[in-house]
Amino acid sequence: MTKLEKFQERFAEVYPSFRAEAKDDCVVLSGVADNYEDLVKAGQMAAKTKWFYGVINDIKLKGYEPTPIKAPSFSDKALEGIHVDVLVIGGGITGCAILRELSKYQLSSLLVDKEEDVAMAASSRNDGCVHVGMDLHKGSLKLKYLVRSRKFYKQMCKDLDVPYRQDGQSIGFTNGWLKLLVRPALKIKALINHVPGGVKVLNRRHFQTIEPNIADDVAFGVFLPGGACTSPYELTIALGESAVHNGAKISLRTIVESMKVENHRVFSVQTNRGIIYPKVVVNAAGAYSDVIAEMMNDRFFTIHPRKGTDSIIDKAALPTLSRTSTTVYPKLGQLKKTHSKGGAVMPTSDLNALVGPDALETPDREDYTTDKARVDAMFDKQIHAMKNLSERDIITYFSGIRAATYEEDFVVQKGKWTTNVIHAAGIQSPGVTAAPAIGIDVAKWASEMLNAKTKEKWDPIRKGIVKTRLLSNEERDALIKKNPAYGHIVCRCEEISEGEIIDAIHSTIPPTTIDGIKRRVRAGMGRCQGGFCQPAVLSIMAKEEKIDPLSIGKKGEGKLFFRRTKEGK
Amino acid sequence: MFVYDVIVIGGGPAGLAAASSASRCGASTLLLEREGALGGILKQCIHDGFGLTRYQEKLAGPEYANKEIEKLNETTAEVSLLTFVTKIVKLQPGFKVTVVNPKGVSTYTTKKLILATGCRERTAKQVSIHGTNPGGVMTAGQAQYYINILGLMPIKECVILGSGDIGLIMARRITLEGGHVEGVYEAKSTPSGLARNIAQCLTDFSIPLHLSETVTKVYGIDRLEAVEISKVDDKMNPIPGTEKIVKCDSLILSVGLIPENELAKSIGVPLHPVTKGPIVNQELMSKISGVYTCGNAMHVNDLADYVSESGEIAGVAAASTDEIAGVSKAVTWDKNLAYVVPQLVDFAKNTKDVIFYFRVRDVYQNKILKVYLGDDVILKKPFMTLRPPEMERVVLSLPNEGEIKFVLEDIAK
Amino acid sequence: MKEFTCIVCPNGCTLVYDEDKHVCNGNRCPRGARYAESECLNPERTLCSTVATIVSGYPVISVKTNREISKKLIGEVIKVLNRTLITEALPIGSVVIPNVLNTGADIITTAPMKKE
Repeated sequence: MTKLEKFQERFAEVYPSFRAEAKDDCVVLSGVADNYEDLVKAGQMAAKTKWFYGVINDIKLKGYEPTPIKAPSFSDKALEGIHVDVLVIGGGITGCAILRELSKYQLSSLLVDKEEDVAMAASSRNDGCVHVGMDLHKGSLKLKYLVRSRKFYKQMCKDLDVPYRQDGQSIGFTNGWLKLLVRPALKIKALINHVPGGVKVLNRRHFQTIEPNIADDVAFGVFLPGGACTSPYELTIALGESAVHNGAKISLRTIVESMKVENHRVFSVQTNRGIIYPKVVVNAAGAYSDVIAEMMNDRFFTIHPRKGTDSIIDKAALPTLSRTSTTVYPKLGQLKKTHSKGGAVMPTSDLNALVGPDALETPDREDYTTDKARVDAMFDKQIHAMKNLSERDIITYFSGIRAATYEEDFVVQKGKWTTNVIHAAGIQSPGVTAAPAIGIDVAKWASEMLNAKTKEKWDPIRKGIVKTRLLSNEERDALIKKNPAYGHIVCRCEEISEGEIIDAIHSTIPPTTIDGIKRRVRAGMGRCQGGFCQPAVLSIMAKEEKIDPLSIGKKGEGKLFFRRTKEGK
Repeated sequence: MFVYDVIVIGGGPAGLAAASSASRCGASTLLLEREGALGGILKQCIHDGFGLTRYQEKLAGPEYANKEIEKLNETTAEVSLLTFVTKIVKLQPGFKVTVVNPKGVSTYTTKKLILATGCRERTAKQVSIHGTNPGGVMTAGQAQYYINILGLMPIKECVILGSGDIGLIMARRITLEGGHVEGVYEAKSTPSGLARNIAQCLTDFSIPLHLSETVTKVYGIDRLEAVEISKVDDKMNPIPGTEKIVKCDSLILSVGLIPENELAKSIGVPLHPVTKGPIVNQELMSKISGVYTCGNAMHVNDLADYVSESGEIAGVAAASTDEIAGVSKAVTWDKNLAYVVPQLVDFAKNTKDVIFYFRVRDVYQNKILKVYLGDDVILKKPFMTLRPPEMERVVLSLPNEGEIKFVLEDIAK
Repeated sequence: MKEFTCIVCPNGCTLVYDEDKHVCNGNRCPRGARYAESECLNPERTLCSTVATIVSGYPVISVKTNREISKKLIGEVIKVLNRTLITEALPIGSVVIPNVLNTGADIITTAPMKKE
């Protein structure tokens, strides 16, 4: 019996209504599932065998019509006939990190994204944790790229002028006796995984010096000094801006519709803005990366989207909460095996507290909805970590979709069947950490495919928008004397000046919506959630871009206004 | 050596009255305002009904603000616009205030501070509205600014959540501007706004008011498309199975005001858990000596006239060079009242014609308010109807020192 | 018998008005009785709204009727306001439209306008 036949037998026992076939060394699952849970479990079963190169899960969910992809509503010929060396599909942190690395080589590169800005999907919908990789599997791409990235991450954030805070990561345990088992196990794992900063196992008294607000029943704690955080959307934007500064191009509101593949090569890529002729295509399309792989005739994996919801807590409450990214290991007996970690309470790089995320398998690749019961459940859970945690301090919540493969690892490799493609797909946690190192490999492979040499001159530095609230009084005063707009505070909750908003409007990847400005300078992210500042931001945008305020939207293609109140005639 | 006797933070009706009266009492006064013009929220409250007691006129918000600004201009008080306070340090005595404005970063020292920082609006996320995150979800104040100041119409078909005054006012405003209000929904079992606003904003325009119902979810990706509305129980929890979907492009939130007291907190001013404003004595001085407050920062008011009145009390008190006394007696109240302001009385200070404001916890009919000073009853006032949204005001003189207690009793048959 | 809320002042007394006997109950002041009568015969309201301007910094300016007008005419007055355009900075209280639609009420500005 071949490996495939063995699997088919076992599979048929568990899932009699599904079929498993071979495609080269991959397995293709098909059939119709009554519920989504079975569909996912079938794929997980196939992946668990580790025999197959990849799992192509084509099982359909009964009665489920997939939500059509959110696409730009217009088309034009702006990119018609363009020839480019490397086309990067996807403007998340992975795509932008790749683009920046590509810009080091003597080649032309173009990144396309279907949204109106970079960092619109998972890259702006996560907790910004820069992980240490303690819980990752040896041999996984997740661990490989995390370890490589951590070596230069801090310096990279400095070069890109984005926040980096190394506060550490903490895990509390309520079962005191576990300490005997946990200490040696973690010490060994930390060595194997090259955990930056190592691991400390501390008794409660010591743990409390790190986390004074830890719940009362926590008996001991594990502290990972290397745990850090950044602002994932600021970083994504910075990576993109750095790439553009070094010659790369970005085209937003550009969706890939189909590809022409001939002789195991992508010949052309059809977008809503015309047909592009790339020599190499990079797949960094996140939750849609298997769909792009399919277009490339190179699909050997499947994304099963996994939603996570985070809540943001008022900055004022942070001192009563955690100093590090903190969670409490569930009591033995309450242990549930999930692929995503059970969430935590952590300070963000901007000193809010963030609570979450949870994990929910969903067939919808762009389901960013939040749900009260799930937020309540997360708070019920995390109160076991942070005793002062309260939903009363919530200022907002949001969801993101993890682009999870069934193997629960990254897909970072050259094409399996199609020769001029590279995948940087299936990026979920620790994607924010690993993306920079993934970018290096992908760019290297692309340059090899093109025989491109590195540029002699490449500028690693990207200057961000000044954060006047962080300047000393003297520095701030000098800056205002040069440009009074920096002295007009527009967003009161976050202390953001008109000058910073103007800088955002004129930045390298210019925002076209109110939310785009928000992502760049935080105006509207405070406790009043734009209640006071949104009209002012709108007015500044209209003035700076010399456009009618009537045409400005908050996000996507949504309009804020329908008409003027008075025509005056 | 102090640069000012009094610095007032906030140039809305509370701060205008405070700065005006402090200056008239001879204090060197500086008023700091973060916007480009004085008047605060009144600039966008173009409806009338302001000034009925203060000026015996029915004024629109900007007219009322204009009168207050003219009064301030008659004094020698200085005004700094586009000025944002970034830090306050207690000098003991006195305070150092650091500000940022288009001229640069400056610091001022002052003997006394008056916090007139107003309120912000509660947001959709703070009332657990879930679902998507589309454009078209806005607070009543935001909608009001867009319509009344920028002349832009953000609404075609809307649902209003919250029957507080601002929601009711906007229901009328939106209708007059050609928008359609599908309904006003209120989670409580009784309306939150003034009865006359229900009449002239909803009844006048046949806009339905739904009680014990709330919005739980929104739909729409880039722009709102519909909301989910649920009936709620007496604890305001949604009742499963009662959901209905209402199509609309706008959700207007009028779900409460929150006093803005981040600056107060930063210098350790204790806040009252119910009012969310500083705990004050009858001179509206907080528990931090030399820090006064007034207006919506102190507690959410219904009437600008009372806001101005509180500003005047704080301004006069702050301007006084009398020694600040120490010991105050607490004012207490029974469980029928939500709160009384002030929460403290300093018997070394003025005890004649002391103004008390209070709100009840529930709707009451035919009650008598009794105020005890020690064992003596110093006030017996009957009320036909008392409602939480309608703040009441009583003026009391306190002839001797004693514990003050506010009690609501049934009118004896 | 008609029951309604008085809108004259914040007290919002619940008025009970006997149209036949012209008697009002529930009012705490004489203004309430007068309001009850007019509300039954010919309800009147003030109108507060905005008018478009071409003055820099004022896309619209707030205005009001300087006295009550018949509730029935509110819709028509709104249409007139929607067609009105203010072309220069006016001081607060300026008459924009005298005796609008012959109601006896003027449309006046309720906020000052600063000249550029």
